[in-house]
Amino acid sequence: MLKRLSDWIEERTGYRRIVHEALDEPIPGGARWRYVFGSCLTAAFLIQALTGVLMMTTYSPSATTAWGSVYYITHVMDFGWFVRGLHHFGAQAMVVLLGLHLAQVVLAGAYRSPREFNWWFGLALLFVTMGLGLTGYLLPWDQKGYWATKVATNIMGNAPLIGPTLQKLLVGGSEYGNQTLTRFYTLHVAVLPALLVGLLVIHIALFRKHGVTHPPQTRDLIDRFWPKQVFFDTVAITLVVAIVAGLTLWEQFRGHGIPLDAPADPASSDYPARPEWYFLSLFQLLNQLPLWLQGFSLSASQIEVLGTVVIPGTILLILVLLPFLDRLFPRRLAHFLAVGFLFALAGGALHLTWQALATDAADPAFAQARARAAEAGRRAQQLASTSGIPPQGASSLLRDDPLTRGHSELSSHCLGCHVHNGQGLLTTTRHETSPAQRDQIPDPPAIDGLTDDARRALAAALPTFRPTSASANPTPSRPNWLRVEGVNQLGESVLVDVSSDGRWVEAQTSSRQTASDLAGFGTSAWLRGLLENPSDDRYFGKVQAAGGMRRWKKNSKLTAEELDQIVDFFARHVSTIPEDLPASEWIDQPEVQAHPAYRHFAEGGECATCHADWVFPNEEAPNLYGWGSAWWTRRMILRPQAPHFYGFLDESDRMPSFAGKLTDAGLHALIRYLRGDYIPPDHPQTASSDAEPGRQPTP
Amino acid sequence: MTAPASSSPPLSPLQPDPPSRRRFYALATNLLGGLIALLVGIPGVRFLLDPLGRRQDQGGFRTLPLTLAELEVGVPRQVPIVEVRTDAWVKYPPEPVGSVWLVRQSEGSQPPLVAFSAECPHLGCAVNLAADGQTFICPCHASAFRLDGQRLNEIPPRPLDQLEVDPESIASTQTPIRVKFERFRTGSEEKIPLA
Repeated sequence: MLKRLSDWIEERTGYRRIVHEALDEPIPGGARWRYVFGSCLTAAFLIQALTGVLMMTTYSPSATTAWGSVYYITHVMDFGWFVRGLHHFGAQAMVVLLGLHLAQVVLAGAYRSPREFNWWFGLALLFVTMGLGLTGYLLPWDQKGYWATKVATNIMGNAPLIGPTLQKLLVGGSEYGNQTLTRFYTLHVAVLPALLVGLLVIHIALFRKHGVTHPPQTRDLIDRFWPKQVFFDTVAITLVVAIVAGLTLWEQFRGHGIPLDAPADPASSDYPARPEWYFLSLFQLLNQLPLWLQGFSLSASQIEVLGTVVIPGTILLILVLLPFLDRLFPRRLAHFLAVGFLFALAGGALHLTWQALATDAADPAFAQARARAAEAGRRAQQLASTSGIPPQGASSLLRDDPLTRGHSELSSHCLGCHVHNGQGLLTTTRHETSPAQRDQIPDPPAIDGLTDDARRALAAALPTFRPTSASANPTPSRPNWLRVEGVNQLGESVLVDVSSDGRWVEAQTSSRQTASDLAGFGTSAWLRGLLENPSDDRYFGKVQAAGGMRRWKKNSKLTAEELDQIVDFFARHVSTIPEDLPASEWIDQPEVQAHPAYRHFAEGGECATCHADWVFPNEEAPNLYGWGSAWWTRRMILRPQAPHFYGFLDESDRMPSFAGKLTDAGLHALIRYLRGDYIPPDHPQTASSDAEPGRQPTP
Repeated sequence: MTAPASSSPPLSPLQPDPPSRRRFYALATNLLGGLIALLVGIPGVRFLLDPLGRRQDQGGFRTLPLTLAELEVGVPRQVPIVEVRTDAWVKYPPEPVGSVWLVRQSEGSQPPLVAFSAECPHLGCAVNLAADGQTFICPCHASAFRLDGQRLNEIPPRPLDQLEVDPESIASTQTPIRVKFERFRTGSEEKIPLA
């Protein structure tokens, strides 16, 4: 039956001849393991094409939808993590295989006459594959892809003459956004793959024309492609697939999941942008060139052009001209030079890559920035899974997150005077000390637990630091670091972390508190604490001008139960007042007047001494109408000088107005953050972030 | 590479591998190839078939911003169904996702209210009230229905889809009406809920 079908097809197509030609290709010198790399690359490309097409069914290339669709593929769809994982690691496998294939070709001398064209097509394929890696990196539109692409395209823009035009064309304008994504997407899924297939067909056809480059004395050994070489190829392909699938499984079940950073945020200032590992050597070359060329009085842009155009271009030119080496030198010498060039290239790239990795590994600032980036990524994914991605795009996930945005607004506007859970504005400074600097300190202060080196480093880096604790403790989540507490010359408290070898000294300085602790401001717990002890540092203890509550407390006769009633009154009737309800209407409501705590605000009540008026300003205290509601806090932040708030204080004593300094969205996020009104993080925070888990807001 | 020692046989055209080894190569190649195909193929197909396993949450009764008292007997009223819509990874703020027609029945009849899906059972266009106020008309292919949902022509395959109304919500004329908002397969004679 099958035979008859195949006969029927054969008569109409002659397909057997094609299959025969494909499988019965003679292999002079016999099948060999070293011939497997080309087949492995072809197979890896097929897997990339398949997984790529699968993801195209869901991926959506726009600045608002790209991250969301990649999140959806990775975390929601059946086996999406596996498909994307294969594509992610398969891309890297292709780069490795390209290197091995290239090395095998050079070692075997297969780049030489008469195979020049095959060599050139192979080089073109190498560049198309690198282009696929570069364009694919951007598509998730996460921080990693965004910043890596920005750097890569800026390098391109620095090229002489056509650079800026080319960059603008590729980016689709001068801003990175929808047009950049659609262009990169088109290159990644249509232009480059089509180019790759076309070049590959020619590459393989030329290979078939010339056959394998076998060792000279094995000329008479004739094997055929099927079955031995096919078997070798298949075993090698199986190994590649196993490694790629293994990495995917490992990352999914033992790591942090298939990598996806936080959505691209053009405003972020501390993202530690690095290219994918296979471009690290070029990246490091750019870092190192200025050091190497110090004596040559070249301008920065000249060095830049040297590192991005001249050096890579020369390497490429040498590779292209490699086959002609035979015309200049004896065959053996030419081959020796070619192999030597290859090894020098590989050695240089390995060295630069290792150097880039080692520099980052030794840099605590990089580690912390990386930790913050990872945390932002996890937070974005958590928000996407709990509240979904809003139609305005994934970038608003973190931008509108009270925890992320509120904390950042608090740090930049409030923590100069206020604190949050006792923590003021943290300023981190980092010092690297050299052995010579350390040796200049003859008599460092004694601190238990610190090595001599570390104590000298501390004294060298922070001469005005005075320790307040006699001994050092291990720094949380940082092995080989020790922490010392102390103060600086301004009396600000300082936490100093010293690496045990004394190389790094890191100081976290907290600003001095001159206003209340804002954690939970507006909640019942905050109010109850205030009524219990207004002199506490959390409330008015550090606020010299606001003495009213402290004076009240000294003479107050209210019992704990009555204070609880006041808190209850605020929770039920004051903090819940809608913004559009006039005070004159609210005060006439029977349930307000019937509340047991209301009498304290009525004539003769303790609170009425200062806070008697709900409708008009009080003389020496803020009007509490709506206290604890979001709108009261917002008005207080925007107009603290208003008669309803602290207009009765001298300008130098009261909080400055923040009108015009905060956007509506920022203000909204800040107020929700203060009230603890946000989705609590689903994992413990790292040491670099001091945000508290969410508290319940008042009802 | 050095020349083979003189004791070994001289180089000659390669002897073909014995048939048993050739069979092993072929078998192992097919086996490994099959394994790779399965490893990539099964997850790939599952990924492609993902939408088949996804059920749209039908969510039960929806509370409408309307009481029976606000409806006139025999005068159909269209009410939008407003809800949070999720489209793959995007979650939209509350917005109308469809609508229902409510027809209050004459005094004393049971039930006192009938609700229809506004989606035409023919091809899913939104049916409208005709100018006479006594007929539902579909603007797409002129399907027509009486106010009790029965067909007035042979264009639609079935009557308008009646929706379940929470009986407790219409026991009083002053409580908000609650309707079970569902979609049904279009074009079929049976009323088959879409899940």
